[in-house]
Amino acid sequence: MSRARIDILEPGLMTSVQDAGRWGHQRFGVPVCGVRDQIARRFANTLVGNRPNTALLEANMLGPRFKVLDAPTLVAIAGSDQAKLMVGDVAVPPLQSVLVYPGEEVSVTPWGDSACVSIAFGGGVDVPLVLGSASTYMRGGFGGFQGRKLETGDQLTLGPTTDHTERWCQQPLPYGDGPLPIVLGPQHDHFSQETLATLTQGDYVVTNDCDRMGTRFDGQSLPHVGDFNIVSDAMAAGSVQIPGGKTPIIMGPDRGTVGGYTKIGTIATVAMSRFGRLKPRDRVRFVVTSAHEALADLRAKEADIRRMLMWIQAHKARS
Amino acid sequence: MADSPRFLPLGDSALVVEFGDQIDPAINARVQALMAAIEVTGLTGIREMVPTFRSLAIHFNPYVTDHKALVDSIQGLNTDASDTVRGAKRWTFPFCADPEFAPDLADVANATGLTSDAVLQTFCDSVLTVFFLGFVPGNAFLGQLPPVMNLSRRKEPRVRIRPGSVATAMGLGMIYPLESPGGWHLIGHSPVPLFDLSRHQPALLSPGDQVQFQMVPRADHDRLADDIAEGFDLDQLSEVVS
Repeated sequence: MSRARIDILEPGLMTSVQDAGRWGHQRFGVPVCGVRDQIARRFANTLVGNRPNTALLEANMLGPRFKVLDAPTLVAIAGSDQAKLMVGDVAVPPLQSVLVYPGEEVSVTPWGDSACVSIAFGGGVDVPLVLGSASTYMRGGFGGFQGRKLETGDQLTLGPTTDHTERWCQQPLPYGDGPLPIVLGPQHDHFSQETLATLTQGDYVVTNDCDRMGTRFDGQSLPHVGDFNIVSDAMAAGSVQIPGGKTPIIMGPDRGTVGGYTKIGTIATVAMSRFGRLKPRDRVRFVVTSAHEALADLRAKEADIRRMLMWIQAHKARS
Repeated sequence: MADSPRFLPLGDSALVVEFGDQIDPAINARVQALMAAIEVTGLTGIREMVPTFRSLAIHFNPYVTDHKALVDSIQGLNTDASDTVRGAKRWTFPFCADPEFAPDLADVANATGLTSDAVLQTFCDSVLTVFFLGFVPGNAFLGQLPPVMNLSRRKEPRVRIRPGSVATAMGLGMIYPLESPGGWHLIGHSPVPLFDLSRHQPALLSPGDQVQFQMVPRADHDRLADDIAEGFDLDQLSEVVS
C-alpha cells in the first residue's frame, strides 16, 4: 500500500497533531490534550475514511499550506463553514473530502467563525503513540510530531491506505447554540446566590488570553465569599475557574491536571466543542444546568452525530 | 468513625469525592484508600481516577454511568484508610542550594525568621511524603514541613522556572519537572528527573513514597546530573519501606 507524505510549506499560526486525547495518565500529572473541537475531529476523519480517533492536524486561527508527496491522499477539513481547501486553484468546501495528487499544493483559506479547524488525511498522520495517544503536549515536549507545533519544512508521513473515495456531509455540524450550559460545582458554595445569578445574567467576552490551556473571559465580576484559593484539586475539560481577578478562566485540553482556584462549575460536555471554537472577542452567555439534564442533552446529540456519520459512510461524493 | 465524604459534580462526566478541605495526611490516606478500593472492585464506566490532597476525582464515561450510579456504588465500599500504601519507597534526593539555584532563600529566611542555613536544615531534616502527582507530568506534592515553613506563594509568580528547581510554599516541597511558570519559593536544585518517557514507569514517584533531601556541594550535584544523563540507575536513590 502506498503512503503519502505531507510537506509543510507554511505551518499556520499554531498547527499541531492531535487526536481525542491522552486519557488514563492524569494521576501522573499528564494532561489529556487532544483537539479543542471533538465534533470536527470525528467528522473530518470520517470524511477521509478514517476511524474517528485517527491522528489529524488541528490548526488554530490560521491554516497551513502544504504539498502532498509520493502518493495520492484524501484531505478534508471540518470545524468552520468559511474555511475552504484550496487545491491548486480549485476551492473545495468544508465537510467534503478531496483526493489530492502528489505534487499538488493545498492551503486552508482564512476563516473567522471558529478558533480552530480539523484537517484530516486518509490513513491519518503517522506519529508514534506516546502513552497511547498521538496528541501533542507542547509544554511537555512530547506526543504528536516531535512534541511541538508544526514548522516549515516538517514532513509528515501518513498511514497506509488504498481508500480514494471522496465523501461529503449534507448537513452543518451539530454544535448547537444558545447560552453555554454549566454544571455547578465542586466549589459553587464559595459564591453567594447573587454571584451565581450574575454568572448567568450578563455577556462574557473572550479575551486574547485564549489558548489550548484555557480561555480567560471579561465580564461582570464574580466575587467569592472568602478566599479564592483552595487546596488544589482535580480539574476537568471546561472547568470554570474563578481566580482572584474574579472573571472566569475556562480550562482547555492542555490544562494542568489540578488547580488551586475555586471552580464555580464545568461546561457541559455537550457544549465543549462549541467552547473549544471560541476565539478572542466572541461574546457568550452561560446558563446553569443539572448534570442529569446535561447528560440527557449529550446522549441526544450523540445520536444525531452517529446518524450523520453513518450517512457520510453510506454516501459517495456528488460529482 | 470518620465523617462521610461529600459527593460533588466536576461537570457531567466526573465526580469528586471530597474528604475535607485541608492538607492533612489522614485525609489524603482516605483518598488513597478509596481509590484502591475502587480499583479492586472495578466499577463500571470509570475512565480514570485522579487523587489529590483531599479528594478523589473520578472521570467516567457518560454513556455508561452517571453520578448517581457511582455514588451508590461508592457508598457500599469499605474505604478504611487502615491499609498503608504498599510498595512505597524511601528516596534520598541530592539537593544543592548554590546561590544560582536559590534566589528566594533570603526571602524564605525573612518570612520564617530563620537563618538561611536553618531554612535549609529544616527542609533537609524533614521526611516528606508524596501526597499525589499532578499539575504537570511527574510533579509530586511533598509534605509536610514543620509549621514554620507554612508560607504563601510569591506575590509575583515567575514566568520561567528551570526544570529540577526545588521549591517550597504552604508547608510543602516540590521539584519543578518541566520548564514552567510558578509561584513557589526557589531554594535549590535537584538533578533527579521526575518524569522520563524512556522509563517503563515515566513518573519516578508514587503517592505514599517518602522523600528526603540531602545537601550536596555544587560539584557533586553537577557530577550526578552528568551521571543521570548517562543512564545512572535512579533506583539507587531509593529503598523499599513497605
